[in-house]
Amino acid sequence: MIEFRNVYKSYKLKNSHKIILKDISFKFPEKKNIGVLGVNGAGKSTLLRLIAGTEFPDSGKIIRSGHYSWPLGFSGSFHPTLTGIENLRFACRIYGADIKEVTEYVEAFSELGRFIHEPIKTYSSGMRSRLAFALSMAIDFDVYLVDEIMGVGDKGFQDKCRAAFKEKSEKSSIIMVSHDMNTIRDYSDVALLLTGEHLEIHEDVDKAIEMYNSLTHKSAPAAA
Amino acid sequence: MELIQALNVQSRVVSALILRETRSRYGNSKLGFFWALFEPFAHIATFMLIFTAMSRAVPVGDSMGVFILTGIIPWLLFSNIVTAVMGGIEGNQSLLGYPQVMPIDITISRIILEAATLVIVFVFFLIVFVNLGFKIEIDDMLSMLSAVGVVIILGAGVGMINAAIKFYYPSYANIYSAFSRPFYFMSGIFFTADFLSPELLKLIDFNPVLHIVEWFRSGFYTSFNSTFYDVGYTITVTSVIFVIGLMAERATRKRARQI
Repeated sequence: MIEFRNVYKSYKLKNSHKIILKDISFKFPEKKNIGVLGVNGAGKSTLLRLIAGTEFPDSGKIIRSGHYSWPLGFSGSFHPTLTGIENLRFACRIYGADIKEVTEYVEAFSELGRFIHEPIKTYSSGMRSRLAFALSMAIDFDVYLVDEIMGVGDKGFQDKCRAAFKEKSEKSSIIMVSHDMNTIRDYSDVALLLTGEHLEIHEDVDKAIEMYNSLTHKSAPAAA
Repeated sequence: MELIQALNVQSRVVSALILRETRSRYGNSKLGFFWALFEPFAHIATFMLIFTAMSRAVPVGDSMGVFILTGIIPWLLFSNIVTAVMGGIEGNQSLLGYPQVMPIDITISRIILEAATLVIVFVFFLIVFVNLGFKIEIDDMLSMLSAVGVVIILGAGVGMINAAIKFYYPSYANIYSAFSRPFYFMSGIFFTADFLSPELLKLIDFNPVLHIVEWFRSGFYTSFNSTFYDVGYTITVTSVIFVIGLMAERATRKRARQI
């Protein structure tokens, strides 16, 4: 369960203030896979970090119960100078997971081979996301927070991710951010449209994508 | 119930961070722990050389080495903890991507690692001195431990204040290092307070580290009981600095987490 109560979130830029959420009270639908849509800079990743609890709102309250993953994204929570295995052990320790079991699972799932013993800074972004995925799958979460990294890797790896999520779908759900509408369609039961300051939930994912498309087209000339 | 759970998570995070810090400091290269031993050794050797050349008598006890050691350990506890706390977020920024890792956990783990390192280094050097034939008798262990406890809290407080200032003014790190250098010579590492003239002592007696070094040595030596150090003053200053440090940490905590 996750609920926003009067949440206000903004960023201080050099010369202005960027408002991400303005006095939002919102209850996220439970046990549903949610695809988050929003134009660039609307604050999708920030929203995910607020849900995870890695960032705090300026004011208001976020009420959370259950086990949420850290935001699985490219910027990541891996320490660049530690090896893959060292990062894995760190995550196991803070989540209280069994190091041996997780290591075995991740070694098999991530297809990193010997690279798992190399520092993260030598990884490609695809390798990082493979490690993040495998690791988060090995530790059981109620909700997986996925920031853009869905749909990385080759088709074989994508199929594996899909299968792993499917296996977990009884107990777990996903809240995901993606620029790839096919991925959103693939995984989401409902869509959450972030329209600058507001949140709208749409039961019909296709319709939400349409609305999102019209938003991006409107903002495209301004961006250019 | 919630508090117990939160403490449980925090202790897991802190112990994971200590392991990570230990590994990155001492695990990847053999030089890590060597450096921990070399740093105090370099101070001791330098002062021994200078004082032998000046043929100055040992201020307290029968070994110049032990005398410098009992000054340099409290000093390094202070200055190394300040440095470690100041650079804590920088060295672990990415790990703040896990929701349960808080900046204060990084601070706590670094303080524990620094303190443990220097206590081990101190014991190591004492063993070396005993093997070299010097007689070492500890007068008042409790007094020494109290001084160590206070200097750790003082270092943590200054470190947290510095970290907060550095957060807004990154160049502050250089200013602090220039500003703190004179304190090395004002902290009684190579002299005792009664060696100084009253006028000179008056100028530097605000320095809490000087009080702590005298306190530590009074506990260590049977033959030395300083009348200079003021426990009340030292604890008051330390508490004020530590509380300001905690408030500074609190004020910057939210922003520090924004990656």
